[in-house]
Amino acid sequence: MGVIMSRGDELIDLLRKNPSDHTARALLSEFSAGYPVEQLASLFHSGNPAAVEIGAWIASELGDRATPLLPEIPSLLDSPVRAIKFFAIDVILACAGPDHGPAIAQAITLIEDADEAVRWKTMQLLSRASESQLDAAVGHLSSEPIRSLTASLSIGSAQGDITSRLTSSDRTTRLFAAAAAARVADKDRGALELAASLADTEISTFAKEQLELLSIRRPPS
Amino acid sequence: MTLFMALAAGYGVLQVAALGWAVGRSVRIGTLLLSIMVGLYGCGVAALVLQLLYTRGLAAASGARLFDVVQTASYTVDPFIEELVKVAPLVVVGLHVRTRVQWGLTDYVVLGAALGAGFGLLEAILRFSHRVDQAIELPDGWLLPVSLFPIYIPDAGATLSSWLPAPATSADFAFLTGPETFLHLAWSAVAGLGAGMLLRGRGPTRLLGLAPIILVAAEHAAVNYDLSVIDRSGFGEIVAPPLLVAHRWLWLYPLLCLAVAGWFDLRDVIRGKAALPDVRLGPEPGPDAAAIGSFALLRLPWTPLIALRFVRLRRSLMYAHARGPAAAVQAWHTSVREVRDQMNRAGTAAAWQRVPTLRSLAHSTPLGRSLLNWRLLVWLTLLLPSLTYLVIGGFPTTARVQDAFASSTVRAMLTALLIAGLCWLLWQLLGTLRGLSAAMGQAYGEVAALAWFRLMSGAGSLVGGGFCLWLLVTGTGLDQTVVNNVHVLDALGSVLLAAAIAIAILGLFLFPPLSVVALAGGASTIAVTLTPALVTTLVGAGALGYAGVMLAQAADAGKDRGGSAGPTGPERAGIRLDRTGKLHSPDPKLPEQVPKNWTRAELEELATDLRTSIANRKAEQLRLGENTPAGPAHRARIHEEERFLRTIEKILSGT
Repeated sequence: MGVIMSRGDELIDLLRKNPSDHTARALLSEFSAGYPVEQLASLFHSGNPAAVEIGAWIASELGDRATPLLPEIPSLLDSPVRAIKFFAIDVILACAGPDHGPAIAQAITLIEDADEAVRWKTMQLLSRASESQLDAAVGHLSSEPIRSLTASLSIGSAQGDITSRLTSSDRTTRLFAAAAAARVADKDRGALELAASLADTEISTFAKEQLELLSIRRPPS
Repeated sequence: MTLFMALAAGYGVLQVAALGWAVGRSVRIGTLLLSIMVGLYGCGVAALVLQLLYTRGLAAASGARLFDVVQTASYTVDPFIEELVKVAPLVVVGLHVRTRVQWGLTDYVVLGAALGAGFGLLEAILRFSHRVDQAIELPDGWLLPVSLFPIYIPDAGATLSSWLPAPATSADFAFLTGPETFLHLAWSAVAGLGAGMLLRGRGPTRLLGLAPIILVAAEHAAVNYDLSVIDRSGFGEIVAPPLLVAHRWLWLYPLLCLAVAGWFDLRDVIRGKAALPDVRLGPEPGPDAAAIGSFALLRLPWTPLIALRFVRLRRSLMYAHARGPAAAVQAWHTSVREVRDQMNRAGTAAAWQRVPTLRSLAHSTPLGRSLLNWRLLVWLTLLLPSLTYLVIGGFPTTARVQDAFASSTVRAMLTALLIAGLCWLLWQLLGTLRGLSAAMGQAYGEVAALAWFRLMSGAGSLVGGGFCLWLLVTGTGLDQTVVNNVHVLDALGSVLLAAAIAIAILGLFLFPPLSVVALAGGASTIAVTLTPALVTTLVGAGALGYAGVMLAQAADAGKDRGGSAGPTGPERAGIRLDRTGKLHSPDPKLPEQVPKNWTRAELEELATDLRTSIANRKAEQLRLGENTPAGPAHRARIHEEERFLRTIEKILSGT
């Protein structure tokens, strides 16, 4: 006896077998039309990395409507695929709250990922996460340096502290400092401008991009 | 029955407050309830002291019989003392410029009504709270056969179906129409208007404010004259009749006062809104009632509360703008604008998603452990005699509980509790006093008023309690009256010492050692503290009160999402930049056309958001590479946003 599948089920089935951008966008529309967001988890468990990546992208495009998928995000953060980590971080940023400390902490530890692009995305997380998200993560960070750096991000740092950390010999400390500079840049761009001038391209590129974003929102007078 | 007398007094105040809201009230209900306590303890005790001093002093100086002096004072000096004392707290608080100018005339009317209600409630409690054993139950209350004119006390049903119900009514009226109009409430509403005119007026015309106060004092005197003078002749017979005719319309007085006050307040609000357009909600000029209404529906129960409070705060700003010095207005203007900005940022349902509901808040509040705190238990123990005497023993069937207060065992216990209660009160008052300067420094003037009101009611309770302690120490029996053979305020002459102690200690009710404190993350806790200065600060913290914490949380969420939901968030079809720096919308396909009702400001903001989102997406794509499975979908989204941005830019450039 056959089972009647909904349009959303059909699209998920199709994506599991043959991932395509057209199907991905169609499924995104189905979620907007009321298809349960939780169904996206089946893509995450498909075993097909391309389907998982498409699923992660859809989750990131759902914005805060992806909140029911948060239990699935830790496994995506563990993925070896860069794009999957990227989109999983976006879900954390958009959806995680004070109850999701472990997942936020897991995303923060990607600041030590071997892939520079993943570290860049994690710097975005650090520069844009709310204080309550950072607070929630602090207790779940096993690395003491990362824990104290995250805590200092949450409580805010003086420009002097940020600029001294920007030139630290430790890369993680520098990356956190760049994120801290971006967090305070809407009030004082000094540290971010210093970061943009550093020889460390990982730091300077991130800082320049943040300055460009700032100039879009608030053109320099 | 004491409870029902209090209910009648409180209900009358709420009636005036509800009508006052419609015409311009900016003062909050909590402040009005505190004003009842000020009327009860502060004004009541002050009037008693002044009348005692006057009658005894005059009797001693003139050699006249104390009874005669008291009798004459009841319709000459006493009504003037009482009417002036009842509005005195408004004048004292009005010495603080910020408070004085932030209250509109309507506020003075409703505050005056509340002070009068408290004063009248004290009279009723002093007279009748210890006589419940004589009460006869009626279908809609109780009848106390205390004299030829029995007293009617309404139950909840009779109270809630009456206009400004008196806590206790002479039965002449009761059998016909239920509770009569609450004299002190109505008179003080009029006197409150007078105080408002004095404090808010300019130049010599402000002296017109004395007229309502003198008028109600004269009417009060005429009513007392009519009740107490049998052999009538001379001046009284000329002056009293017209005032007694006017007295038939007493129920109308508060309505007339609200109408007059509302007219002036409305004028100030209209002028203020024109002068300060930056505190309106929503993008369009003109009335913003629809924007406030939409906000109110976002998340129950918080957003309706915030919307109502925002309207109140804005009114107070308009009143300050109409009368206050620029320096006093500026700080408050900034504060109200900040509230407006927060409401703008929290103007979407999404912003409120993580704000806790009332139920989750109740679950997160560790009630049990906090309620077992020793400080709270001490406070409740100190209140025990009052609650036992006035509440538990306050009904005909339980009146024996009151009789037990005459025993010697209870006397010792009561003395100890009274001393402890007075120490507690003194401690709290000193703390409140220490917090006074901080309260007076706040931009929101009502914070200072609250501190003053707490001081006044606490001081009254302290003086009353101290007097009772002196009587206890000097051997007055608990079943004896507090003052013998004296008619000062009549009521004091009839109250038993046990009842007076119960009433005095009840003043502690205003000084609990705890406060519900909102915490970051949406939880809350009950803070048990003995630091009155902290309590003073907490009471006034944030002009929006507890709901303000929720607003801050929602606004923070809005800001975290990019801060671009802005004043026009709800109207932007849910398209907004979130914390990821990318634009998201309920429908993944962005509109082909820009809706015609979007304003230029909305379009400009949306264009900025689109540029930000496109920049972020392109930076991501640079790092993700072109040939990932999600790459085409990601690119397609960038093209979609670029197409929408071009559409908007065309409109903005006029092409």
